[in-house]
Amino acid sequence: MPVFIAAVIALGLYGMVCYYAFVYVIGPAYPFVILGAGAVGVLLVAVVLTGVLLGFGGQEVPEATAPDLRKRLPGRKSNFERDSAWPGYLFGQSRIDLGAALRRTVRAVAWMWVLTTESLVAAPVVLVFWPLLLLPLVGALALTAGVTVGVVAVYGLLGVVLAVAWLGWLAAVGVLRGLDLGVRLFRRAKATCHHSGCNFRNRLPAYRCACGQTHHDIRAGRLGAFARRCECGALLPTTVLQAAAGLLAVCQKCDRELRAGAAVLTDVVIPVFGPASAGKTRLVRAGMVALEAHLSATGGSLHPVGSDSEETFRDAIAVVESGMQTTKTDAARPPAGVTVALTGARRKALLHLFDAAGEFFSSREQSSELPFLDDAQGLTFVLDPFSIPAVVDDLTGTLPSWVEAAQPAEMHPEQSYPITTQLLRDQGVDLASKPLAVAVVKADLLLGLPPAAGLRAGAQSAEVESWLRNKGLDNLVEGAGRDFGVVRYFLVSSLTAATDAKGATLPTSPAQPLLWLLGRAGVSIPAQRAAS
Amino acid sequence: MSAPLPPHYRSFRIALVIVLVGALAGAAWWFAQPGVVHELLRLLHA
Repeated sequence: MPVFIAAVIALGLYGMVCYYAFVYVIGPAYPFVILGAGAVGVLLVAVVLTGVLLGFGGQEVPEATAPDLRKRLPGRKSNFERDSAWPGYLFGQSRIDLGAALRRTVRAVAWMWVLTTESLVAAPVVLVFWPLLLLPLVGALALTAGVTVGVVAVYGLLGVVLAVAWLGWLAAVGVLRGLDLGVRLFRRAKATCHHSGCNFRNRLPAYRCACGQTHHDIRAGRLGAFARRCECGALLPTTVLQAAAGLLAVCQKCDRELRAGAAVLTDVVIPVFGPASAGKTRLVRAGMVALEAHLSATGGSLHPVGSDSEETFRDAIAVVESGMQTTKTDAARPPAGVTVALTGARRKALLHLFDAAGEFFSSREQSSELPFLDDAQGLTFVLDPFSIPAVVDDLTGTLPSWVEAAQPAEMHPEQSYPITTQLLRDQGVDLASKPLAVAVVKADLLLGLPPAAGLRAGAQSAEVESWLRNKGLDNLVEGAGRDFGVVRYFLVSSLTAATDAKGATLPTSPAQPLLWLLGRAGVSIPAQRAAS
Repeated sequence: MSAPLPPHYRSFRIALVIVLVGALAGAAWWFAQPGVVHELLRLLHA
């Protein structure tokens, strides 16, 4: 009985203590606990995020590499992997940082609940003081709610900030790309691979960093808007116009070095075609020298670009000045382009001259090995008048020795011309949009001979065309007129002086077909120096 | 190839922290307005 009474009294006292605890401790304190714990929860979110972003308190994000980050970028249509550069923070790292901070915040809250539960399980006797335990419980709940509110508010805010930054990036990339492409389109710039057998041509070359890494798409994008950082740490520009000023341009197809100025200067490709021994190489060499003289006389300049072009140009000068024979072009492989930079016209330009051995134009199969024909701004067909049977027939008496001296082409022009043009048509090349210069060469030998009756040194295109018709080349003349958008005929001498005593370019200069084709390609060069 | 993270990553992170601190400062300023805490406590007591 006394035990029972003691128990009732103890229970009553316990109930009274609980009541007073509710009334005087829990009741007044819980609003402050809720507010304080909630604020701590919000602060926890902010502190963990700050620690992750600034890397203090052991909160650094695990170190990522550029390839790791690039894997997080969306796929794209390209023949190449993404370039070896660090992605922009918005695309590569921001999600990693925010994700890591969020995971650590959730882990901290989970750890708090686990610790609380484990403490109760380890010492269940404390449950006797359950009214007092309500305060920590309310605090834990308020902290969890504070963290939740903090996560929604803070990550929502940063999400908005990143979205605004993304819109800014999108605008910057659009403007940069548009300006870059617009200027290059206006200039008619392209990158032409001059290397033998490649001759790939497009608007966007690859660029090589000093570390050796090739960047196939240097333009502004997810790897950087205003600049990109190569994996080696070097800072690279994001426009072709800037890249061309400091980086080595390389071919997207063969990975070999392109000419300086590729893709930023007006780019003109002019192949010369015709049968073997027609005089193609002579025309190209003499044409380069005559063009240099013409540009110098009109206030411009011409410079070979690249060591091989310099060597070819030196050789051309020696051949023209000495009047010696041109060596036979190597027929074992397709030619490399000879590139010259033209200045002084309304714009700077790169002119690529391709001179393949005549054997390549003797059959369709061999012509198909010459990719530079596909995307040329204009073509030059070299026509050797001494390979026209009607011309040879007119040379009687001692005159046939002239034919021997002329070393005529091995193939009739009407046989040679269709091989190349038919191939180009079959390959889908729109010949109707291209100009054709027909250069009737060896004028120095032809003029004055009986077959040249009706021709003169200053013959206009129509006169040369008429003369060719008279010599039985109607099919060629009409075929050229049908095939190409515009055809112009030139009577050219690659052996005699290209300028008169006053320095003016003669009508028979080998530069004339090039000047005309350059003009058609948008590189107008004045006929004479403007009066100052 | 290993290289330190690009410097602009740090700039971006610092910018985000500045935004965060600014937002917290704004929230603190709002709480410090007369009556806000009292109003919240009154709501919790009710």
